[in-house]
Amino acid sequence: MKLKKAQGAEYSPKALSSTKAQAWGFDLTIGFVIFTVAIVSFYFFAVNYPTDNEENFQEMQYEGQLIGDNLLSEGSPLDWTSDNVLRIGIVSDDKINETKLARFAALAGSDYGRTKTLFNVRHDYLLNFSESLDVGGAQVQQIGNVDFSSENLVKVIRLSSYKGEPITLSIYLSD
Amino acid sequence: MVKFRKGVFFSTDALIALILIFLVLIVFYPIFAEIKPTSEVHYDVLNLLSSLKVGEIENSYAQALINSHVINNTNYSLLEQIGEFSLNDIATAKSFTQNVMSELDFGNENFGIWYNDALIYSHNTSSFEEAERVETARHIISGLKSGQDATGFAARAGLASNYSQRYYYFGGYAGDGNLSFKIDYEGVISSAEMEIAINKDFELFINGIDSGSYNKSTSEFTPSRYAIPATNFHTGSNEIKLIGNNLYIAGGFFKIGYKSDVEYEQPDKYHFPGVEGAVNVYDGFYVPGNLDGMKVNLHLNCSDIDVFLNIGNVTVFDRATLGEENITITDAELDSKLDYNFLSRKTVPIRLGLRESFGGENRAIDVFSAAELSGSMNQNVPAVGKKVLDLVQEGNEMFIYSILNISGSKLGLIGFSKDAEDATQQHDLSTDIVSLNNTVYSWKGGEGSCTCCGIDKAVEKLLVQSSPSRYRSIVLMSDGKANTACVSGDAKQDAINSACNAWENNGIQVHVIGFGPTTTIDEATLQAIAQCGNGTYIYASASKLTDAYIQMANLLSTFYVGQTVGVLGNIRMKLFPDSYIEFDYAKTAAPFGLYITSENSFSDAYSGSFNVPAGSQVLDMNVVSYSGPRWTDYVEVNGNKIYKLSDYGTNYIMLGDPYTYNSPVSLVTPGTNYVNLTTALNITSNFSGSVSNKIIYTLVRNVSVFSDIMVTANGCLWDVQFDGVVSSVAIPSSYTGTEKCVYNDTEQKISNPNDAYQIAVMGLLQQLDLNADGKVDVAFGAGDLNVFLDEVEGIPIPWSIEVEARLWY
Repeated sequence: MKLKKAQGAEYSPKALSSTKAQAWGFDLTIGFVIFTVAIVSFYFFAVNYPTDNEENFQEMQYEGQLIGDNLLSEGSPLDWTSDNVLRIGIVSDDKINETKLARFAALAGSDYGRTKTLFNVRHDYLLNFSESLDVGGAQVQQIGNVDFSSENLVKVIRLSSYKGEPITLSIYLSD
Repeated sequence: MVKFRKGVFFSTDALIALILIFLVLIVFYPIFAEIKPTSEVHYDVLNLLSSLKVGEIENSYAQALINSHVINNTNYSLLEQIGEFSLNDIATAKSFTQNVMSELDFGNENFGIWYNDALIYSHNTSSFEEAERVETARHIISGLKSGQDATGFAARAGLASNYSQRYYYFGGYAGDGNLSFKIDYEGVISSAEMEIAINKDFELFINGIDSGSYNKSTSEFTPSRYAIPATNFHTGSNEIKLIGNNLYIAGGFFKIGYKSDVEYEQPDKYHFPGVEGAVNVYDGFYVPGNLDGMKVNLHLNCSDIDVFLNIGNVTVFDRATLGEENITITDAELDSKLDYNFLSRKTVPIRLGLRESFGGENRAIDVFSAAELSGSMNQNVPAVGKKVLDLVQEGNEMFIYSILNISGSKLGLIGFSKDAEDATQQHDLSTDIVSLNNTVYSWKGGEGSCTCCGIDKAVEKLLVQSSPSRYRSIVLMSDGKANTACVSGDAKQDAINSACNAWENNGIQVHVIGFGPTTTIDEATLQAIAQCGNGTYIYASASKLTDAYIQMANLLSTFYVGQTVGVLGNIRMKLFPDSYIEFDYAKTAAPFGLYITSENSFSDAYSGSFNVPAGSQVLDMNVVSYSGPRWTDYVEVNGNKIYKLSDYGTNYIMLGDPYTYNSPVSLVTPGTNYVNLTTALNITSNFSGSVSNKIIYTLVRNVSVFSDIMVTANGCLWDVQFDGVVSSVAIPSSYTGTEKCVYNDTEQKISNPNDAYQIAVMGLLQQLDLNADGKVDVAFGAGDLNVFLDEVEGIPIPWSIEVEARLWY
């Protein structure tokens, strides 16, 4: 096809199409790069983002530590009772206090849900001592929900002493 | 076109968006890093052990220990009780802990308890050494060991007082030829090293035993350090010989470490170096008291050559010898010439050299320095931070001093470029140093290069101003790229022809210094000029031009001496190393204590500092200067002048150039002291010194260190850093344990803060590290240490321990 000369200018079909192609090519390159980055980023997050199970495990682990920290504190108020307790703690002078332990055992037995609320945990818990403890004449080895049905368990270990003996507190959580 | 602009905007937005995406990724990435579960067990254990008292614990093993009075204090916490066990009975500490902890369940955790780095208890499934992550809880415990059976230990550590280091200094310039030195000591040597600035490779002989070949130093300003075999030395007098081709030492020292019963002695003699060759010594001495008398003994063999000895600026000896002679200059002679009071407590320059009048002949040198002053003179030389013209002027100034040092010699100047007709750039033969230097420093860069003009003009002046009876020569400095002819139209050939004419028709030698970048210089032409002018060709880089002029001056002198030797036949020159100057002054008694000699390098080319610890007495302090071809002209300590060369005269060429500059000890103060130093070519010039300069000082102090009474005294395996070397030494020498203690420039640490040996030795090392840089200034071996132990019973002994409970994954 032969183009006519208009207003003194001479058209060059080859030059015109070349300019357009460069602009398109540049945009296409940038677009491709952005797309690639988006795909890689998505893959990156998809692979690394915790699964439901992992998220649940981490939450249980956190709650186990939370319960441990609460229990190995003196509680609030320091001489707390089931009526006024704000924070459950069973320790005095870095040793397990028999009275507080008895109160905690009683509270967990009568109102387990409240202890969960006080501990600020969502999952069920079970506190297991490394040996049976004599609490006011009664033998106590486990406190909390002793009827776990879930297969998902998390165990957090804390250490203290009771009546002159080193004791291991194993805190189990289930979903 | 409009569409394309839109595309650009869109692309820019896209780029910005892309950058934002990357930024977000980078910022938020750490949030998604894996968070590993942590345990509080290690904190719980420390709380448990520190809250539970020994008297409370329901444990049969603990009860048995209480019943058997192994445990005496039931009020101790378990943590404290284990700590006390760990001090004296690590096995009981471990079994006690094991029993207490056996009732606990750690699950799968890797856990351990350390008392001062000693592992007391562990429960683990993988080893601590393979841990990827470690979490630690710490607790400091302390207590008092008391009761009748409580035994404590106090250790005292000190160095054997007969161990010392000694320096033997070589002088500011000792040459030229084979060199020898005397090293006298009484004792058992353990180490030897040498630091010197020396011009050529050499062989070292100690007491006649070949002790190795050594390379020359980097430059006259930068010495090299050499380890020397100490086994070739023996107690008494030792002779060190350096054999090479026309050697000279421009400063340096020999350093030995040895044990001796001889305590510190103030010097009463200056020893000359031995020289076989052209005797040329620039040095100095220092009398640390009121000089009451002096005696000089020169053991010389210079039959045909006059030798002169200048003390300060006074010539006390000036003649040739009759074969080998022992010449004594008595106190009476010296007293009549020297002002003893003026020389007291000062570094005094001395100069021992050869007169130019050999064998009764009195032929001196007439030489013209013909310097090509082309347009390149104004170019900068980045390597030295100066212009080419500056370097040419400095080189010629040194040349003037060197030539006019030869009595009766004259020097003239021809500065040339496109011709050699500018009278302001020339100077007739003269001995006037000031006038010649004025001409040199009036030189300017011109245009073109007419080398034949420069040579012809020098010849013309020599023919008029000198006579054939004198040794006549020209020293041409050029890059060889002559571009202006005289006769033939070929500028380079004309230059060669002019040199031929000078020598063949007039007996004037033409020597050449080739100067310029090796890529552009025309060395073929320059060598042809030197060859036809019966001269020598030397190439000089920009930074070495002054050295080349000095070398050329030495060459002319050597040629002259050699020519005289050729005439007279059998001249041998030798200065024997048993030559000395003896001083008589009231010495001060050596104080009691350990003598420590330390050296500190200058921090830059002008200054340095050193530290004198409190409780020390400084015995001597020397500043050593590598001044190269220049003179050290001024030294001060803490702002007080200790040396000024111009106090002894203004004609530096006739004065000595000491290597060591002593300071009266009264100027040295406890704490940091500062030294400043400059060098010069003459009384008007001023230069920096060398960064290799040093401050070497000896002080005495009591370095016995006592520990407090501690509960243990086991010892340690020490890694101690001396100057440049790290040595391992068991202290006490009977120690066979595995505890590691460290004293180096990055860490100073003991293993057990309750160990009396470790505490005492740490204190000792700190006292031996004069400048507190972590390097012990006194090199010693295990046998050099004295460590004593006292046992104390029945008094309370404090102790403290850091307990660490570690979890690892």
